[in-house]
Amino acid sequence: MLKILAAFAVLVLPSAALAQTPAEPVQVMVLGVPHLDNPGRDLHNATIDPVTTPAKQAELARIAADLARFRPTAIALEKVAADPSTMIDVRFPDYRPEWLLSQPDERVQIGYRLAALAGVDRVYAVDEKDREGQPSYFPYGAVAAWADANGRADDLQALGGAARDFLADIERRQRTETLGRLLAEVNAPGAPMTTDNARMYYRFLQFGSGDDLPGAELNGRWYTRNALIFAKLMQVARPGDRIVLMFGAGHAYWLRHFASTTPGYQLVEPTDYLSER
Amino acid sequence: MLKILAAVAALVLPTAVLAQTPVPEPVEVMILGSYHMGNPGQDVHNARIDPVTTPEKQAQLEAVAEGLARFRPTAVAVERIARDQATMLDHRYPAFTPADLLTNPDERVQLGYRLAHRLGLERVYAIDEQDREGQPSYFPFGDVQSWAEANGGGERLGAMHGEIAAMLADLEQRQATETVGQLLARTNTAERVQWDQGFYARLMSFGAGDDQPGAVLNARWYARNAQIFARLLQVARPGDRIVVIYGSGHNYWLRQMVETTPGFRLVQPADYLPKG
Repeated sequence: MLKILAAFAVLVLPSAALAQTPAEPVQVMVLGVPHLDNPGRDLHNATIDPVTTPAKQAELARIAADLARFRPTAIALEKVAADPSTMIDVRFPDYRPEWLLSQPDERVQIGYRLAALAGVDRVYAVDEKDREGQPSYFPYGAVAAWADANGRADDLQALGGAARDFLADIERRQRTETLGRLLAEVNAPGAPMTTDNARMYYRFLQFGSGDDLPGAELNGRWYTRNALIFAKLMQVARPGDRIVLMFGAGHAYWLRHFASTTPGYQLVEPTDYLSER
Repeated sequence: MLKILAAVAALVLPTAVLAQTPVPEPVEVMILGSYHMGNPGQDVHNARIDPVTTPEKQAQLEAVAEGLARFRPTAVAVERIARDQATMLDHRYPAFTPADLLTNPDERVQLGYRLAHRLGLERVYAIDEQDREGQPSYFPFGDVQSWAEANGGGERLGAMHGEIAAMLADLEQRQATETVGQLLARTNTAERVQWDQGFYARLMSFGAGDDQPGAVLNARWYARNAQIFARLLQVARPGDRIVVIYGSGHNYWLRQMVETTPGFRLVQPADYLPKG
């Protein structure tokens, strides 16, 4: 069987190699954002001041103008598609600029604002969330229970320290610095959310013993959610696309990983476009 | 005076303790990706490896062990499930004798046990994780294959099968002219590891809508490696130098996990494998 396959390979390989060379790579700008409307869904959350004020609106307009220079052809957001066969964000066609004064959600404030400014009509909803009857994508309860039962609760608490410090820093500095500057900092290569966040998730691997490894399970499930998100992006991407993929900053590490290691895709740094450093 | 000192100590102690706590020595880990030398035929594709129990191959394997010994390993970890998950010790290793090298072609024995025995190591760990009863498979390739066939992706997946088959055919051919050390070096180059990763990434495109078997396979493969690496974390001690011997398909993730975990440092096998 192997020999047959090998002979087959010799015939197929040259054309397969050709077919794999896409005319143009898909460029993906991964933009990690703090949730601007304070949904409080995450393990650690920053409290963001209202973004509907004139001053913050001017800052957000500048972010959109900066990102528009990337000339995006599509925008993909942290939302589950109503129709998975198209992944289209069904809300965007109704978007009106007045929403900006009443809806602090970053998908509206940055995503829709940018799409409207750049004339993009392909706005996708590529999120993946827990499904009925399947294990959670973020089984933190099992990790906490294991830590409690094994005298490691303080260690688990300390693990979040770096993330909490980072968010507290953002909370303080939003009073004195622009959102554009904070966004540039969050997304800079080597910054905590683009780089160190993976280290935090790998620290979870210590929580477990023998073959009862809830920390490794959490690490694997978090990767899984991000893999399914990126695969949805792959479903809608077309050769030569320039896509802004905007998600909560905690996703930045893995989404950047997929954009930079998947053949046919290229990672674009938002900091190359954000004008405030 | 004593009271004053005590008060000063109370103030100073927190920083003093911090300053005195030595940073634990890093754990150095060499991930050595191998081909399966015993032809277990357990993968989707398998190379047919010539017997490694011949005098010529044995001399080459000795040279590999000699090279790896220069890393001065303190422990070896192999792709096997430990019977005792509390210690993760490889239950088969204590019965090993050098005579096994002439009868057992398994790379865990030929590379792992040989190296451990040469160095007198007792710490040989079995850190593998495999499918468990009642839980989803770590390698649901059948789902990808069926999806591809039902959705016009059969040819595209077939071409990818072809790439693997060609790579294995190349390995089969080279084993006649290259040493085991050279073949292992080839299996562990950065380019090859990147190619492996790209292969799993390309599988992610097999799926539509919410049905994404390729992405699920990619993620389950990751999840198995996270479970393996979590076991390595359990047995690693500060200052350890550990050689991890695994099927080469695990190279990308095990390397990435070593590189990303605080307190761990990745060591390249190329620096220790014999050149000739």
